[in-house]
Amino acid sequence: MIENSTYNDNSNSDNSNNDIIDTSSTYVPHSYGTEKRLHPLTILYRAIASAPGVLIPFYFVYTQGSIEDWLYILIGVIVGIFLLPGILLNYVYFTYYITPDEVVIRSGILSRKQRNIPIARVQNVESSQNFLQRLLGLVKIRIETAGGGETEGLLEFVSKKEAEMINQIIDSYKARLEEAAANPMEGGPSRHSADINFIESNKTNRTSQKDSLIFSMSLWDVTLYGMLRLRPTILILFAWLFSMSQQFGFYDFDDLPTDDIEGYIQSIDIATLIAYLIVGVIAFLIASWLIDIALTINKYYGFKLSKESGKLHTEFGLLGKKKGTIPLEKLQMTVIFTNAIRRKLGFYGLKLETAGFAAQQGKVSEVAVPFTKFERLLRIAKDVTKIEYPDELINVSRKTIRRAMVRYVLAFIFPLAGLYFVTSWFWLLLVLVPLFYYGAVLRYQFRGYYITGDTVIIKQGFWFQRIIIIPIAKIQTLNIRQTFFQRRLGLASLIVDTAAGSTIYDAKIDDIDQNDAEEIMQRLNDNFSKIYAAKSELRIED
Amino acid sequence: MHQLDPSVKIIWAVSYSIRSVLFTALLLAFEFFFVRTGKLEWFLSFGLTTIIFALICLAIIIIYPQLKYRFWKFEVRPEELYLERGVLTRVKTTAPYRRVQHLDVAQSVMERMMDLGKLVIYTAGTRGADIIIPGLPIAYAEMLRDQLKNYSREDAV
Repeated sequence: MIENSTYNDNSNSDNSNNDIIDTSSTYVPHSYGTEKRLHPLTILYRAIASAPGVLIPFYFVYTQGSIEDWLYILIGVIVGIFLLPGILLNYVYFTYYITPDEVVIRSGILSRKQRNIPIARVQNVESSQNFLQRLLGLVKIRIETAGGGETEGLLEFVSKKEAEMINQIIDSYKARLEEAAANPMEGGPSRHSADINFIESNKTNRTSQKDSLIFSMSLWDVTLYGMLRLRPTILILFAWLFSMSQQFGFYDFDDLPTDDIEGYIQSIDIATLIAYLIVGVIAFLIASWLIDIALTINKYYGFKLSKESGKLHTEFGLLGKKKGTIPLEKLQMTVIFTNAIRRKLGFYGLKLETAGFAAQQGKVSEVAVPFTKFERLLRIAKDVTKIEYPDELINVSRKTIRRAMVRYVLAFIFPLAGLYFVTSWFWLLLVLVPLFYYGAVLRYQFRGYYITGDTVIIKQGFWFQRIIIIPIAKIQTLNIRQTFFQRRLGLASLIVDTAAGSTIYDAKIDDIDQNDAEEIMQRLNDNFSKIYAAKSELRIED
Repeated sequence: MHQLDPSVKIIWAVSYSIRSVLFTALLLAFEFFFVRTGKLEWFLSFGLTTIIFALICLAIIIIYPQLKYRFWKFEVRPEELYLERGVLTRVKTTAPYRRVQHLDVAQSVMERMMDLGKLVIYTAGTRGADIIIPGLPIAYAEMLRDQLKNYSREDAV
C-alpha cells in the first residue's frame, strides 16, 4: 500500500518528463498495478499458427478425395471447434501485471495458475519476433530467472511499446538495486529507499542509456560469414523435406522400378552414372552452400552488439528479429569459435555463456560476435569481459598423440576389419595409419591451455576450434580425472565445472602431466580464494 | 585425509550382491528356456555360463568394495572440500564451500541399520552438479552438514 501511494505521488513529476520519453504513457507508474491482457492480435496469430493442423485434413480430401475421407473433414471441423474457442479463452484468461518488484502472470481456464517472478531474480529479458509476428507488431518476451524452468515468464505476445516498458521497469529496478548495493549506508536495497530513488535513477538511466555500439556487421560481412560457415545445411533440409513428403504423400516410392531392378541397373551405363553422380554431388554442395548463405543472412542481418553498464545487447535478423541481453555479471564462460577454413582466413566468432539450467539449454549461450578478425575479436572480448589472452598457450603432453593414435586405430580398423572377409585388398587400409598419425598430431597441436591470475584458457579442436575462457571466480568445482590408460602414461585431465547453462562446451584440459594437473588445481583454488578474499575486504572497507 | 567408515564396505558388498543375484537369476532363466531346450546353440552346456557368471560376480563382491574403500578419501580443507575416488578411473574433486547451493544428509535402510549416512552437496555446476560422500557415521555427516551450512557464502552464480 505504502509503495503504491509513493508511486502515485511521483507520477506527476514523471509525466512532466514527457519530452525525453518517446512513448509517453509507458513510464506512468500507476500502470504498474493494472492487470493486462496480451496484445489482441495474439488471437489472430495463434489462429494462423494453428491453421495447418486444421487445414491438413482438408488437403487430404482435396488431393485424394473419396467419400471415406470425409472423416478427415469431420476431424478438421472438430479440431476447429475446439481450437478457436480455446485460443479465445486462453487469451481472456491470461493476464499479467507488474508491481514494483514482481512480474505476476495468471493463466489457466479451469485451474488458475499464478506465477510470481521477483524482478530481483530476473537474469535476462529476451524479446524476439519472427516474420509473421513482426508484420503483426507482436513481440515475444521471455523473462529468464535463475530459478530454473519453473519460474520463467513467457509473454506471447505483447506490443512493441509494452515490451519496451517491461524492459525499462526491469532495468530500472536492477539499477536501483545496484545503486542501493553501492551505497550500503542507505540500508541496502530496502524497498522504500529504492522507491524514492526510482524516478531519479530512471532519468539517469534513460540519458546514460545511450548504448555504445561495440560491433556491427555489414551485409557483406554477414554474407561472407554465410559463405564460410560450411554447414551441411542441405542434409538437414533434405531430412526435413523427406519427412514432410512422406507425411503428405507428395512422393511415392512405388514409382521406383522395383520389379525389374536388375535390368534397370544394367541398363545404366557406368560412365554416365559416374558423370551424373559427380554433377549431382557438386550441385548438392553448391545448393547447400547457397542455402547456408541465405539462412545466415536471414539470421544475422544487421547484427549489432552494444554495451550498457554491466550488460550487452545484441540485435539481429532479417525476416524475424531477435534482441538478446547478456548480463555480464552472470557470465560463466567466453568461447572463441571458428572452423578450419575460417581460421585459415583469420576469422573467429565470440559466444558468451551465462548461468542457466539444463532445462533451458541453448537459451543461455548468446553469440556476441558471429564473425570477425581475431585481433578485433580479442579487443572486443577484452573490452567486454576483462580477460587476458597470452601470446602463446601451453601445450598439453605430447603423449596425447599416442593416446589419440590408439583410439583412432581402434575406432577405424576394427569395424573395417570385417572387410578382411570380403576382399584380399584389406591390407590397403594400412595406408590410413600415417593419416591417423597426422590427425593425432594436429589434435595435439590445436590443444593448449593457459592460467592467468583470474582466468583459465582452454583451446581445443582442429576442425571446429574453440577457445574457452573461464573466469576463475566462476569456477564451481574442479576435477582431475585419470582413466586406467592415462595413469599408465602419467597423464590426467582437468575438468573445470561452471554454472554455464549449455553443456556443449566441455571445459576440459585433456592429457596433461598428472603433476601439472595437481599443481594447476592447487593454483586455481588458491586464486579462487584470493579473488573472493579481496572482494570481501573491499566490502568491509566500504 | 579421511577415509570412509569401514562398514561402508558391507553396504557396498550387499548392494552388489543384490544386483548379482538378480542378474544371475535372469541369466539362469534365459539358459533354462533357451540353452537347455536347444533353441540357442551355445558352446557351454546348460548351467555352466551361469556358474561362471556367478563366480565372477562373487569375485567382484569380495574384491571391489575393498578397492573402492581404499581409494575413497576426502579432506575438509579450510576453503574447499577435497575428494578422491575411483578404482579404474580415478577422480579428484575440489568444491569450494562458497559454491555449495544446498546440502542433504541421506540414509538408506542399510545405512540406517549401521548408523551411516551420505552427505550430498549440490553446486550450481553443470557437469557433476552433486557431490556425494557415502559411508560417513551419521553424527559426523550431520556435523559436517551443519558446519558447511554455516559457511558464509554468496548465492550469486
